[in-house]
Amino acid sequence: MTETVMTDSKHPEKNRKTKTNGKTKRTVHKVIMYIVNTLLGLMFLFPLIFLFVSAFNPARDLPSQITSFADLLPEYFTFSNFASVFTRIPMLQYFGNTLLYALGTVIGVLIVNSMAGYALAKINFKGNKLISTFIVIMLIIPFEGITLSLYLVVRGLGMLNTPFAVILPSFFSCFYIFMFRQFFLGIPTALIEAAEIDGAGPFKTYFKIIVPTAVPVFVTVLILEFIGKWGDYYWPLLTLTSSQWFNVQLAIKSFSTASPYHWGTVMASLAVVTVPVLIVFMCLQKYYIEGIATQGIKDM
Amino acid sequence: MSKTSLRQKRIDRTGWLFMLPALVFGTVFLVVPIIMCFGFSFTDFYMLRPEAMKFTFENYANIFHDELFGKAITNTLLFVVITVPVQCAVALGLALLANKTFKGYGVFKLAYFAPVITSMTVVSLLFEILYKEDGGVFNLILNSLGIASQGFLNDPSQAMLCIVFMSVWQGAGYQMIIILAGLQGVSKELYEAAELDGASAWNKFVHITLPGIAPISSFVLIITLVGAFKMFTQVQILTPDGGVDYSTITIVYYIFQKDMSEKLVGYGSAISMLFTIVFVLATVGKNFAMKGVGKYKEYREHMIGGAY
Repeated sequence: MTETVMTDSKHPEKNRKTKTNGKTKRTVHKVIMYIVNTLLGLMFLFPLIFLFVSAFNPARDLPSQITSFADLLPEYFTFSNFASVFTRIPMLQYFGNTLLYALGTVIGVLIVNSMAGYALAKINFKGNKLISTFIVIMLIIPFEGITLSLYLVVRGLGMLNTPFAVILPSFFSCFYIFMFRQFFLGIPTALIEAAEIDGAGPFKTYFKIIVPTAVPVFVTVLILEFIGKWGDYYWPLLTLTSSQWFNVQLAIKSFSTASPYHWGTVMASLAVVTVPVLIVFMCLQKYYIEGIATQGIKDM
Repeated sequence: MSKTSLRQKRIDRTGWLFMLPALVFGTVFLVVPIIMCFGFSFTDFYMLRPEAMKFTFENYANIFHDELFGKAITNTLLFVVITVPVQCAVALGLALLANKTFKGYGVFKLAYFAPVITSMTVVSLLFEILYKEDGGVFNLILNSLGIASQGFLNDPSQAMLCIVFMSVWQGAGYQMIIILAGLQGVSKELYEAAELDGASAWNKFVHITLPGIAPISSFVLIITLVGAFKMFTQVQILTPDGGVDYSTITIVYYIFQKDMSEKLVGYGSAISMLFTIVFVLATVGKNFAMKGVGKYKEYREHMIGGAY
């Protein structure tokens, strides 16, 4: 049993006790584990709790006027901070922008990379080996290393300050191709052959037979990319300089430096940006965690 | 004969058709930029006067005399050297704590994981307030413990450590999830057998748990390392312009500054190339190391009859 691993090592004398003590020992251990986890969990959540509590704080005080913990707690709870987030800046528009970028990217990512992954896994075309090797090599090129040239390409195509600047460059992803390829390798070839015998063309086979079997991996990629795009900061910072195209991350960054400074409102803006991801995560938790976990199991 | 080759031709066509979208986007947005970056690194391309571009080897020579870049490398390495072991250890600790099927443990896992789904921008803006010298929560906590207020981000000797602390807090839950998956793969029978033999908890941890998650831990290590090397958002938001005395300038931030503020594309490209090459070498090195581990495991399985 794994549960004896951690705390017991600190109490070697307990191990010498006889079987009759085993049950109480286990209960004590269980209680200790609950307490440790609760305390640590609260410590971990503290900054986020602070964020959400402050978002409802009506105080206009600057941080420099805060001298004790009591000043941090709101006198009463108010929604006015949230209201000012949406009235002081066009937050709805930023939400719309971000949704557009995230959904646009997700759709492209799913189509482009799943088809490539399928071809590499199940179609024995001339050049398959070559491209597979190429993908594995490209997998290790860091995005940060090529951002400048990519910026010049995007600028050359006249896409700066357009949604295309953040959507199109994300379509191709060696990582997702690899993920799809690994999944499709596990699909029986007989399934494809059966469809072909029934007279279905390769594209019909793919979209009608193969894609429905691959829903979990599609959802995993969807949520990984959606959350990634929602939190994207570096690339939009370079390519979306006009505030009408800001995504939510750029919006809260610029809002946090806008005057008059009101930390309750800044906190409300952070909360507003975080909540949608939390909801998406809660709904699709299983797929997200599986996606992360399987990255580790299937050796990259 | 001709029938099979006709069939192969059709397969070739289908394969390339399926690959086509990926090839188009991959060429335009990955291959072309890489080639451009390589090319520009041998020029003195200045974005505001592109027509005056000349071929030169000077960029690569200049890198070694660039003190600020040296500082960026030192800072990045410092960040990596502290963050990677700390974050992996924290993640392992959290995974061991949360690896139970008792009631309510889902909440604990969620608590440890919550910072991961909070974007780095939000986390940085939040910690900017927590780290404030006057009225920041961390200083209030210290004051209540009788410790004097600290400079945190304003103190060049503390700024990087503050960023490490924040990054570990934000990221550890990610590695925890992977380690949890690894822990679930360790066979329960091994623990039961060890308990029958009267093994101590520590022995079980060292001889069963650690080897059981070894394949995953090397992966955890490499993704933490890769993430740490690319650190950017934190310093861009918390310590603009590289922080006090450039105490938090990192490689990626330096590239960003050269390219975007100073428009020195040639020089920026040379640094990018160097960064990419070192990065690729590190990853390839990791793959070789992994192969070594694999060989060792094969050998061990052979010797002990595949107990794992």
